[in-house]
Amino acid sequence: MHIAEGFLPVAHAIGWTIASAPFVAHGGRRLNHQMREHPQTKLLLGASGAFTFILSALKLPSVTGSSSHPTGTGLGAVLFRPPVMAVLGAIVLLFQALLLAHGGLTTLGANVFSMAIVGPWVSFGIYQLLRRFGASVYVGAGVAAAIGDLSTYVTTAVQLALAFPDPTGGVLGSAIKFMGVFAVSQVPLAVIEGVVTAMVMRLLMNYDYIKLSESSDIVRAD
Amino acid sequence: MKRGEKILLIVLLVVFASPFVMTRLGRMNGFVGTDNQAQAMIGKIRPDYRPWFNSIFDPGEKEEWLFALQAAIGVGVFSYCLIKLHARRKTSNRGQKE
Repeated sequence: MHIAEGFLPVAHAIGWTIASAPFVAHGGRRLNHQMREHPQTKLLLGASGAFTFILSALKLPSVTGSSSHPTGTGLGAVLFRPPVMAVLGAIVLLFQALLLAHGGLTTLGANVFSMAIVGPWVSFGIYQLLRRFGASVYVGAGVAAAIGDLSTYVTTAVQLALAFPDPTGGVLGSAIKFMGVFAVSQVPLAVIEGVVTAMVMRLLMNYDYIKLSESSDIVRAD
Repeated sequence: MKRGEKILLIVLLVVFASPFVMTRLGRMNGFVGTDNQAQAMIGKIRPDYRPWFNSIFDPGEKEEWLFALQAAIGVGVFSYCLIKLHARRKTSNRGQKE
């Protein structure tokens, strides 16, 4: 889902940066609030950030001779709500753009939008929905993480399609082409991400690091 | 630590370590990243498009190691946070019992 440095036309690069900025700014305020009001959750915040850091660094082999990587934003989105992940995800992407030449500064806005905004919000929505329908925390978080992962890649495909419409098929035709690049490879990886997220969730719950609140939302324990 | 939790931790470690082990073994050499495939697709749709900005720092061949470093930093921070959480849990449990 990393659009490489310079691979979005100037107008698109600026547009996505403007679109992402308010989410990251709002996330920064939420993160500050979280650390000030609930300082005991700092360790769990650190763990969630580190989880994204690990998963987005994993280039896993997938079917059809291609490799791709998970995003790891679902866990934090479920635990701390999506705005916090906008910041943590943006930090990870900035790190990769600067030190790994993966993604880029000009495409940071677009990449933040797909991985740190759309992915976490989709994960959060799916988690809430599944919980309403009686799914367990683990199933909810796992499925949410997997679908959030896929939604990030779909967003990237749409972003690329908007920037590079197909000469004959237009934006839609181009979107189908780009989704073809990601979809088949990403599905198995999304499943792995879902399973790993559910396992980490179980680890956290087993040790009472997190507890369920009455609204069946997840809240931090001491 | 209960048996189920030990198994959980081991599975997690295997998943986290797998890409690097596989790269070392040479099994992943034939795999092409989807990000690169998308880049190639841009070239097909718009052959005239040239990137207008280049990475400030290009690690080249060392990229793979930097990815490993990123994962290692992540595993380090993740483990540190969980160990600290665990320690805090223990002390607060003891406090409640006494």
